[in-house]
Amino acid sequence: MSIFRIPEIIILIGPYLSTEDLFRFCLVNKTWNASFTPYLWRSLPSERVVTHSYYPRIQLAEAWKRFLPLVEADILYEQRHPFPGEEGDGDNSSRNMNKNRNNDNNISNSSGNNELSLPALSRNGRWIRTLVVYQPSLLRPYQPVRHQVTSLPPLDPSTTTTSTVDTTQVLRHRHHHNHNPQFATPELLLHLFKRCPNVRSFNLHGNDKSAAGYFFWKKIMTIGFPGSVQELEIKLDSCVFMAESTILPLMFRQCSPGLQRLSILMDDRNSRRQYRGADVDTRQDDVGDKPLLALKDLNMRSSGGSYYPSSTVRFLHRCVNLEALAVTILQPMWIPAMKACDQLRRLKIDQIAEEQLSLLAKALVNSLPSLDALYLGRDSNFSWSPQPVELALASVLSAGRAGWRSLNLPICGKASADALVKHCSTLEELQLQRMDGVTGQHLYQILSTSPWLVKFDVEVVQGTLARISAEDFIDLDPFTDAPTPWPCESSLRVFRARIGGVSRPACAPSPRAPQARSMVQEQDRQNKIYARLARFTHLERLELGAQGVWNTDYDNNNTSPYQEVKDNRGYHLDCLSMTLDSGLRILEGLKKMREVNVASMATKIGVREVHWMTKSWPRLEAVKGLKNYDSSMSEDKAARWLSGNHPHIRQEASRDLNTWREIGGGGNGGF
Amino acid sequence: MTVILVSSDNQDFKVDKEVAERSILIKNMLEDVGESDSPIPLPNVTSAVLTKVIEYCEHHRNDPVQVPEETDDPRKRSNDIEEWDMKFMQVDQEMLFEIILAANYLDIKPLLDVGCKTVANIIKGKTPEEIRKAFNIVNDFTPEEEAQIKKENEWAEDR
Repeated sequence: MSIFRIPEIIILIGPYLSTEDLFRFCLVNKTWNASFTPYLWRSLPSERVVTHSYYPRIQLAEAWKRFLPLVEADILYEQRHPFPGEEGDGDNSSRNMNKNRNNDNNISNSSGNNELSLPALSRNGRWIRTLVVYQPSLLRPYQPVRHQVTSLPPLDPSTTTTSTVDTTQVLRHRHHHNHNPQFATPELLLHLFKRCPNVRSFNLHGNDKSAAGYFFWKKIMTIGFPGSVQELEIKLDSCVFMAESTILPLMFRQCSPGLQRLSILMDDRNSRRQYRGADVDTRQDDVGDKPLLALKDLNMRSSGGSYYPSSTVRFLHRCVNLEALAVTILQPMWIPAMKACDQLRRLKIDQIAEEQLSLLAKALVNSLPSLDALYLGRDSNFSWSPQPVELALASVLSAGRAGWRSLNLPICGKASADALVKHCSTLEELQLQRMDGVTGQHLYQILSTSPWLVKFDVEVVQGTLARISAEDFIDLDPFTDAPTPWPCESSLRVFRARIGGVSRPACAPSPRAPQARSMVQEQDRQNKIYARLARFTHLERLELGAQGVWNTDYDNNNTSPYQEVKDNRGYHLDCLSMTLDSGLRILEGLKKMREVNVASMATKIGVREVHWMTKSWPRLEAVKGLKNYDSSMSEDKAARWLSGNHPHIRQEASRDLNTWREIGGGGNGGF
Repeated sequence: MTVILVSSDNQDFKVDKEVAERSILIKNMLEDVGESDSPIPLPNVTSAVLTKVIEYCEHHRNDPVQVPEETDDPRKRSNDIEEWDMKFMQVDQEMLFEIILAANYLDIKPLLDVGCKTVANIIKGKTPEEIRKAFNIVNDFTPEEEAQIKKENEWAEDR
């Protein structure tokens, strides 16, 4: 008895297989082919290209080059055998239709149950759920043989009349001799739409810089996307500013009611003023006023940071069930429209300035009762004396009506921090990037009083007070001498912060060590810190030390008023050593640990420690920062050992500093 | 409270109700029948397989009930099998298949998942010919059909 004779079981295995495996297993026999083809054809191009490629555009273009012959074959097939009842190409005379009906009968008679006679796209298009199209790769599909006339054999000698052969040849002719092939590109895509009725997620990347490109976008946007699409992502390199683009209003008008997620990313950095497409009418009746009930997630961003077209306001009016909104900037016109978005919970604004924050505070007072997650990016011309911004931010934080659940702030000063600590009872995720004026006391209060805290990620820039002192972190109960229980102990998953004041006699340069303590005292202190960390039973990511160490000036002559202890390379010495001798073993119970980062700490992690980590933490995926520290060879050895024995564990330096800057990383990844 | 399960070869297995209810089939049966100590016949499962399945359910008796994932994510990882499960699944192929069939019949989703992951790990990287040989599968394609499928799926192949 083999389970491989039971299609129901084979199908269950499909999700665990890679594209390469699926490709091979489709060739095993008919049962396997029928079971695995739906998985192989689930995503076009294959998922590996879509998600794991460093040069997505090149790879996409390559993949499409391989797929386009199938589309072409399908179009040709359709021209020769139009399905009855389907919209004709205009070229098909009624006689043609009759003939083809005969043809269809012939096919079904001759092939019996073998459906391999249909082109692949007609057979398998229905499996496609994810479609990613890079428009310029559609612009050069017809590489084939210029100036060569292909004459086709007669279709079927018995039924063919001369006139029908002519028609087919003309169609074929037009197809292959399209010296301006761009005019066929929208048709290619529209044909795909017709063959893929179950597409759920559709991504379209491209540009409207050439006339052909503009024609493509305009045609696609005018006709609209298949109604089955629930997630739509548009990435457009535009030569006009977003506000002047005619593509966007068309898009707003064609938005299908089934859409759940819409993401529009415009790259208009290189745009120049251009008044093109004055033919597009964006008056109110054009945009329509039907509410888009399914739309929950809207992402509209431009890399140039320009304004939005005026029709955006009317579009926002229709988004009555919106839960997440990501925009480059807020516009004053939107504030009244936002009254419609009373479900809005998450808001992301890429560029903040004082005016933006005041607008937001105003919006919060009058509307947005559910907003509880806020992600603010940093303005490109961010000022380094952010006092007014700080005060505006504090007013935004105070105006929040639902209680903040998730906050990601580019700056945080004293006023904002004071407003922030009032929200500890709801806080789940906290990410702070520049914290002038946040004191250790604020951080201690957040950590020790937030019952739902999942993510505590505070990037510490050197020379500020924003770090937790070892005493605060240990937080002993004065009566029992045991650590005071913190309410977030079982919820916290990400801890990225700096615990200051753990000088290590073993490596701290004595003149600048904060206080001279004995080895025993130091050891005791480190053990207590480990004991506190060990209480975060669900911890998955641990990063200690100031991650901003590479970005700031760490001139040794500039004595910091906060007594940071660094070596001559700028690494921290007054932090946990993370060695087995210092008590790393205490963290053995953190079985969920996936990522450890020691990048900016002067640790002495060797093979022993790394070996222990892989043994004690079964889910470990990354140990970061081993390779950076080259003044001691032990880390190098550890890195080599790790890559030799556990090649699947990643070692690269932390990428988090850069990820938040990326525009269009897809959706609202920042939340 | 205990439940008596009867395998296809008429052996009785006495297990805790909590353990037996890892199987959704048995759980629903018990709910339908109500308080009753009549044995539950499992005509599709032999005693050897049932022993294994009970061993699995015993070990996972305290696991939280799996919440069906809402996501439409088509790709799942097969390399995240827990150590105990991995050892548990180190049986001959016949037994592995029997366990999967039993898990399917008894509706024990986590066991079925682990089984499918194990099978996926076994067949990964094999060529069609190796697969046919290993599992005694007859190739019912004509060479032309095979060539056609290869050509049609070429776009997904790695270059």
